[in-house]
Amino acid sequence: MQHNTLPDRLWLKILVGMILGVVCALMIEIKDPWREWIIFPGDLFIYLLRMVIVPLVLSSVILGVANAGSLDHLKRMGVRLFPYFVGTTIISIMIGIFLTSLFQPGITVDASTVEREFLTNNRDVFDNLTIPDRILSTIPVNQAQALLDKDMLQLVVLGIVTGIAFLTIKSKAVKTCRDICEFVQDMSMMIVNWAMMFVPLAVFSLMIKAISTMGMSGVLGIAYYALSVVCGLLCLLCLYLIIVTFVAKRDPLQFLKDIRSAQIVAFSSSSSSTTMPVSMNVAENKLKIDKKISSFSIPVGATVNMDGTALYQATAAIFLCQIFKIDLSVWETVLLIFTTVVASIGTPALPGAGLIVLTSILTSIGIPTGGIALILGVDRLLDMCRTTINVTGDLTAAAVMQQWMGKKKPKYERKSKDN
Amino acid sequence: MHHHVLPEKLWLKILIGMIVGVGIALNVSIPESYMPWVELPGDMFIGILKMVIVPLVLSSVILGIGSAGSLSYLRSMGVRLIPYFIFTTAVAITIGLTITSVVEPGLAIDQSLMKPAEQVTTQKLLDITIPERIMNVVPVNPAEAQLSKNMLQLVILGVIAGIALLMLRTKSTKTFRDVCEFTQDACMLVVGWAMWLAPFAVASLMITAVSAMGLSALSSMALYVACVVGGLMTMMVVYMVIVWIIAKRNPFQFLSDIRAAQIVAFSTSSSLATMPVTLSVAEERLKTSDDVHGFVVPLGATINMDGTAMYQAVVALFLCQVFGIDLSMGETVILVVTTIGASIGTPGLPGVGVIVLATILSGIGVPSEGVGMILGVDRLLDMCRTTINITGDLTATAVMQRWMHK
Repeated sequence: MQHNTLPDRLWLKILVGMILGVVCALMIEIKDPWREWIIFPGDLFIYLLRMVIVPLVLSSVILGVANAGSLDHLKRMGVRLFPYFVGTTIISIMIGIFLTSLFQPGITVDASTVEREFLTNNRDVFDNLTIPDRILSTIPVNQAQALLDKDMLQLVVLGIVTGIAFLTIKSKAVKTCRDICEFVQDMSMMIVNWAMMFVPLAVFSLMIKAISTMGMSGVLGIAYYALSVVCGLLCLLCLYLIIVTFVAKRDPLQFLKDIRSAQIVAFSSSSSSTTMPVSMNVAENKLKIDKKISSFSIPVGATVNMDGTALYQATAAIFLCQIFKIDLSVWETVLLIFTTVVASIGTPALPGAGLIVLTSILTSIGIPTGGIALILGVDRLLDMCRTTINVTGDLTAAAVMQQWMGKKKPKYERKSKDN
Repeated sequence: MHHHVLPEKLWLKILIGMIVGVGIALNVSIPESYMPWVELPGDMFIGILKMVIVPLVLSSVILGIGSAGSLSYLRSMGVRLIPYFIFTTAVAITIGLTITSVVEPGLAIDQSLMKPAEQVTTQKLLDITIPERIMNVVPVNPAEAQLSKNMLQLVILGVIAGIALLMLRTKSTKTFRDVCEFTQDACMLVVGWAMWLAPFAVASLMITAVSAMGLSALSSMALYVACVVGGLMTMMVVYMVIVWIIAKRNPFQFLSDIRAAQIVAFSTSSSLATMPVTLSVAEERLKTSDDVHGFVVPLGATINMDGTAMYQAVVALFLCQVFGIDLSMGETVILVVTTIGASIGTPGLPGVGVIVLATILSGIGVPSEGVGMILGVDRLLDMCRTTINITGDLTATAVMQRWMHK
């Protein structure tokens, strides 16, 4: 991803757009023929992001796996990294579910004010699938169908398989295909950048759309919801520092100081993939992590490991359940955790993608996706926070990997540090 | 395809899997709630194989034709292959008709055993005229062809792209060829993974197949089943003679080379799902060249179905015997040829040929109970005829290798 050309002071412009949107929606009553046009930029923004999501997921996953360098190295890293990723993601989802159940932010919002456009009987369809069926459904049997349905998990599996083929097959043809993937990824990011150009306007229109269907009690509920997300993210940050201290055996305060620059870039760009080159630089120069480890775990982590996003998605799902008065059974909660883990693996590291993935999570447990309009308003702010956590998580993982993998290679590990 | 995807002694492992599967199915009664888990390895195996079929058919046909070197070579391959396919299919139909008229299994059937078939409407299919059927072969919408996995359209798409690869002299053909090569290699890599799963998958498929197979229906239809199996065995002998005399190979060596593909065909009962295995067997065991198997195997899996053709011949004659309908030999042959023509144009759904045939037969006075009777033992016979279909494709590959690379 060579073009990190996000506009300057983007977050400030978005904030202004958001505030203007709220103010307009509260002050002026918008008549019907104009409403369509005011909603238009927001929808266009969402559509542009949806347009790139399939090629971007495919190319990022393929390149993420292919960047590991060799199959053997991939395997050694994989058996350590993936349980770690899944473990931290599950913990962060559980923190999210726990805090949301504790704070109950959805209670203050009136469900009848929210559009229920997508309320269908998806719930039954999903419940009837057995676990073997669900495992089978991850195989991209018909790639054209997977592309048509935007089946993210199948696309991720397809991407991993193709990425492994890149590593395994030794022929000149691989270079050509890799070039094509890189082009697709760059092209997708270019389109994302176009979308980012008018994100302040889009947020403005999305806010008007949300507020005009919401009412004041909704805003209060949303503030409370934002608070519970931020609390969850802070808990997660503490957890990372504990992991750094006890598993990676580093001084947590020193670690925080080292990764600060990556965190600031992550917060201001709110895009893990834009931050990736910075995280890589930090991992190598500040944290002194072996290049072979960082060049695998940082890109893959930026693609696959999104604890902040997972926490946020779990919180959002529970929040919407509370609004719509849907009680999740234990099995459905387990399903939510599972789906969120899988979805956070499949979420590409770009701003806004998390929302689209959230849609599929909500659909899978039968929550009306119209409710997403409610949380879009504060999404940008929360996106900045959760991206910071995502990047912190990736760097923590890199430090842990250094500790675990370093033991296997005592050659240049012994002399540097071993307390 | 630069690395080997078939593990050593694969056939032995999957044979053991098969026997274990049949043993479990006959001796252990598996509770309904565990069945999805038992089916999982088999479904996963078929799923992985089916996952690679579309890219594999496209890339193999494109590269097969692209590596033919010249258009005249391609033409000389075509004028040999198509008559060969028609010839073997004709032989298969003849064997089927002969055996059924000699043994007369239809006369031994007690009509009170019949049960009504599920209502299947295929009338639409039969309304299609021959020119329309030919038009349907043109891949008007390639995305649609991929989505519906219309193999014949994909093969034709591949042929056209392959010819373009031969004829166009631009730098970008090199890039396109690279992409196809990578796709093919990647598909074969995935097939290699599936092969490690094969023994477990075959066991699980056999359990499912045996429990779905009405064994009681089998005993009452024994003579009919024997006719089909006998006909298929005869066809196998014909293939061995062709391998020996035309392809100039040792038939026993040939059989031991292809048995892995045969067992996979038998347990999956799907020519298409077996196609990736057939391709790797041709490449690694029969040592045929890319331009031969890359073209013959996908095309054969799509249109050369000798076992299925013979089966339809037997069914047609058998049902006429059961219901006392007198058809002349000429009428029977026309009936069978029409049926085969109809089933070629349709996407490769299991058992679709029988339904088409039954619909045609009902037009000439066979009641729908006849179809129910046939479908009762269809699963077992489907397994057998798929094995013959695959053997026919591999025999054709060996023959073409001999003819094109003397």
